[in-house]
Amino acid sequence: MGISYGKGLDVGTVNLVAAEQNEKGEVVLRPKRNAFIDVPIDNYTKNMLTRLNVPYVVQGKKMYVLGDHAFELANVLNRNTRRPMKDGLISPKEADALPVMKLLIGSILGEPRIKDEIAYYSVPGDPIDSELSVVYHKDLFDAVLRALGYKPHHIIEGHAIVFAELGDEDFTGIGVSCGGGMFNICVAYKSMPALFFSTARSGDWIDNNVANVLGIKPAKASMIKEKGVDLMHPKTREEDAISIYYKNLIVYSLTNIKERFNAAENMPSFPEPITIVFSGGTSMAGNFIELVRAVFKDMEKEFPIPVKQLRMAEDPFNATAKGALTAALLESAQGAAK
Amino acid sequence: MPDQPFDVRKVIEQSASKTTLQELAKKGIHRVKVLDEQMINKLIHDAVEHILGSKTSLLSEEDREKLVKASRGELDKLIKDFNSQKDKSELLTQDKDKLASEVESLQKALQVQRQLGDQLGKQALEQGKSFAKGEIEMLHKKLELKDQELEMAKKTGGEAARDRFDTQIRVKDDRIRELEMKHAGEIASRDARIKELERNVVAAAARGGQEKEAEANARVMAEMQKNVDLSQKLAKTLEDMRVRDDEIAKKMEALFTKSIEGISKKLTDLKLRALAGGGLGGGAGVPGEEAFRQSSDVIAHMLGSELESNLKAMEPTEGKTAGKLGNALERLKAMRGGGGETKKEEKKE
Repeated sequence: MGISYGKGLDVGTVNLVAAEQNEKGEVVLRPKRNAFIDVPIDNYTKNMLTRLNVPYVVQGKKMYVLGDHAFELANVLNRNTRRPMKDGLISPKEADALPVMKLLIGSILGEPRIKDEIAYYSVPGDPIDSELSVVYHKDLFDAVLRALGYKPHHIIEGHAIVFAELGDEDFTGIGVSCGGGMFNICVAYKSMPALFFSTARSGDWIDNNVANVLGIKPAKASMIKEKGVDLMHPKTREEDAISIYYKNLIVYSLTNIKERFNAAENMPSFPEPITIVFSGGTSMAGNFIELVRAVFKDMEKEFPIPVKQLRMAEDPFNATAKGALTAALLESAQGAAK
Repeated sequence: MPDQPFDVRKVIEQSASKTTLQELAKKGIHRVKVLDEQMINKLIHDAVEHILGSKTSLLSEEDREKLVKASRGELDKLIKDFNSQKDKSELLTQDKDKLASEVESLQKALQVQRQLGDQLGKQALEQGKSFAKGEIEMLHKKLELKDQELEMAKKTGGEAARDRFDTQIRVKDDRIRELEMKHAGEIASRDARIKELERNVVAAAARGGQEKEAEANARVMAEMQKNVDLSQKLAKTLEDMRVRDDEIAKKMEALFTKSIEGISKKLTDLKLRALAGGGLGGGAGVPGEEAFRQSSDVIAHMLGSELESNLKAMEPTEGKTAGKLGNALERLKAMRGGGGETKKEEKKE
């Protein structure tokens, strides 16, 4: 079986994931933490880091450790990592992070296997509750991928979920990507996006609100969340707060889908009930889908689209990257067919 | 004790009490009897003589005189001491009085100086205030004048520039007309000359002289060529003048715009400096601003630099296999059909 050329890239606030297909037709995934941390710049440190297989980069008079090692080092040194992205988009405060991002992405995408290999990267839909612009973000990542030797295209993150998870349902339904910075939603009909948008409420929003209410640091709230929380049966005060904000977030997202669908023109009619799929790191909290089902039960009658099921993605962490890969392979195949 | 001499001074001091004339006056004593030294000596002498003469006859005349002489000497010495003491105390009293009056006068002088200092300070403050007020009023007036001047400049500057431009254009038009008239005259004369030559040619042809005809023809051609050259020259001159006019018009427009902008900016700066606390405050964005979008050149430059890194020296990031895509891709291919339509739909996102 020959290799199908084309790669997918999930550009997330917290994690980057690259996906490609090998010669056996298997999907190969390479995740990396989207973070870096400053370290002292000297030859001893450089040698030590290389010996320990820890990636670093020197930019001007500063040296940074990249990726997962940055996260580990931050924990050891009790410091915060620097994140090139915020709320789903490139952070304006980290203007010098673009070359670092290029290196991070390059390390997981690798060299293009053919000249101008197609690479699809995920972008958020236009946010409905903030004034952030996606245009600048797209320009930057187009340039990054071009600099790495790829031919860049973008795909709406929610749409990538539809590609990855709703194949058995004729790519009809709603894909929801629950990322760290944003929730991305796409209503699709026969693989065509009918409605897509994003909201600025997501994992970070939960962490910040829980931290506010309990008087703790957002990092601690995040740690409690990632350690394992049963959203349906919280046991401690912190878990209770996390559960409450999760519920609020789900209500907010479903309500917005309902209102946006009703307000939009030329919406397709769905003769059959559809599936709503949830993916992303924020959806990996314990009993997340049960909580969603419980919330949806109260608003089912008012929902404009008939829903047959609400389920989790098979691979919530990598669904976006897989969906982007699917889009890249499709484009590549169509290009080859011409 | 009988062996010790008699101390008259001590006796007088012990017996006498000091007082002042004012105190005596308060007591109602306005006239006093004064004994001088001579009288006191005589009294003591007489008293001693009397006692010696009346109470005893044991002393001889000679002894009595010795005794009187010794007593007198003693008395003199006492009086002398008393007087010198008195002088000393008077001097001390005088000194004390003098010092007291000096202190008093110094205190008065200090008070006067303080009062004077206060008055001068108040005066200076009042003067400063009125001066500053005057300056501020003057600045306000200047600002108003500048505002008026700007309005005038806006109105008249444009008009003046336009007038100057119109004048220049008129001058140029006049010049063009002059040239046209001049050349028109020349052309007319040349036309007349050509007609004359033609007539000559006809006449020459009528006479049957071939050589003269050729010569006349050549002269006509030459004249016509000259006419053409002159016309071309005129046309080029007119064209050059038109181009120069356009350039001048553009330059004047640019200068005018620049000068108006410069004046506006200066006035705005002046206003802001004159107003307390600055003018507009920070942070106000202009409504309708476009979202920031970096140019491709800038982005390419940001990404173009090769950074020192150990990534290439390290093992490549290991990938994890996660099954296959299933039939999703094939289904999509079937669904999407041809590639052209799909690309358009994707780009619409």
